[in-house]
Amino acid sequence: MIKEQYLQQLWGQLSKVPEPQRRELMFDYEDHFRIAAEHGRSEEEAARELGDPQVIARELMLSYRVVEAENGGGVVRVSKAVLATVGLGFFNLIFVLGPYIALLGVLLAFWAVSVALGILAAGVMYEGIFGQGIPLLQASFMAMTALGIGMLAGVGTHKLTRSVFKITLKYLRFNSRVMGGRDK
Amino acid sequence: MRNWIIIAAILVVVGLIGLGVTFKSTGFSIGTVEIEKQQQAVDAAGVERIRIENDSADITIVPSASDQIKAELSGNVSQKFIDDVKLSLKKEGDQVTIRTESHTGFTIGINILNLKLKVELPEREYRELVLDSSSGEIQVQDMLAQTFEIEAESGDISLEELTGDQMSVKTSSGDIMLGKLTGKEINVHASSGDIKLEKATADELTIDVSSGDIKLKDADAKLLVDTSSGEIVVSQAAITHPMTLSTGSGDVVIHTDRQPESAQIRYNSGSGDLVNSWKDHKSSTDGDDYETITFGDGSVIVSVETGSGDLLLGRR
Repeated sequence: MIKEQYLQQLWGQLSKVPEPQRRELMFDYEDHFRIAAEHGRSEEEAARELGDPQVIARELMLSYRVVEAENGGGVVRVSKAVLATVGLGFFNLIFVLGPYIALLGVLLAFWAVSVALGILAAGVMYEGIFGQGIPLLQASFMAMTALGIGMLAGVGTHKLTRSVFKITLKYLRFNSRVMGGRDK
Repeated sequence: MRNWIIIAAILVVVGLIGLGVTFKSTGFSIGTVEIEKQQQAVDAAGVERIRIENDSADITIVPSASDQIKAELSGNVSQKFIDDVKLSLKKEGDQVTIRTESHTGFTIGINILNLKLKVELPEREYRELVLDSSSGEIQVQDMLAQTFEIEAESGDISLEELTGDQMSVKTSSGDIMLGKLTGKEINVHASSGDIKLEKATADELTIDVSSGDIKLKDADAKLLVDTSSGEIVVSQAAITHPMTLSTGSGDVVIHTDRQPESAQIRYNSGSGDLVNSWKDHKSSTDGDDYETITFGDGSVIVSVETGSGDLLLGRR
């Protein structure tokens, strides 16, 4: 039967989503067929109204990933959400994934600055203690300054990273039909 | 998060204050130790070839009135290197080899090696003077040898009053300053660095630079000069020897005391103008973008090629 095939396909396409969430996502679509039948429409018609199950599955994947990222977003979860949007069209590959990777690069650079300052502090202390190049007292103050600046840089970068992720997820939501974006 | 900011701010403030106070009292200096002067000498009798291999010392080679070849290594280094610096002088047959070694290996921390090598050679003609240096400034004065081979990976080179047949001077990175050279074939090469020559007499003078300016004053020789990026300035009394001057990007300037008596200047450029301050000449342009200016009967050929750069002819 068309309804069974359709829902099976949809279920299969969502294999990466854990079962409880998968059932939740499927609910609206099972319901659609039920309501269609109540109003006397055939299963074929109902299926046509919904559209290609593959496309729907991709949008549902995206909404799942975005929600996961919003619930505890590290770079991994946010990136998975961005990757899920790529499945929805070539446009997203260039205009969403591209800039996102660029932003990650910039963030990585800022983190590197913070880490480098930490390494500098360690190196200066090493030289102060074991080497004869710099007096220990001067080395300690240099290390303190470097460490302090490194920590401040780290805090700043952390805040920047959070903002970037927040904006990214907002944009993904905004651009998704399934999640109540513009086209709905 | 807020705790981090507070701690970080305290660290920075305390650190900066501390630095300010300690710098005021002791000043900023990176501690080094003076090494014990090492001296070696050998009788120069029968020595035809001198070979100097250097790691990182600044080298000065001067003539001496005695009949001994002397080498002296001095300078200051970081404490941990004090036993790693070695000078060796060996005589084998007709060759004397002077070597400075500073095998420091991989180290963490501040590394300072500030060494000076002074070599004194009795005043006479040698068959070969070879100098191979990794890094460090080189100064050679007043030497006579059939063959000079001076090669530095990095460091400025200054050669004054050298007389010989074959001279080859190379540096990867550094300026080369040459004065009063007399030879047959002189070859100068720098990957990156300026070349300045004042007074040379040779059959052929070849200068090749990847990036840097070349200034030749009173070079009495056939000139083959090339720089990929940089200017060429030739300044001499008159044009008596052929010249081939080329730049990738940069002007070529030829300045003489008087108008050239008999020269043919051929100029080819991707983008550039020929600016000629002399009056009495014939000019022509041929189809391949070669502009030719002929003075007198055009017996000496000067060929100038620039990718992008002017040719300026005038009075110096």
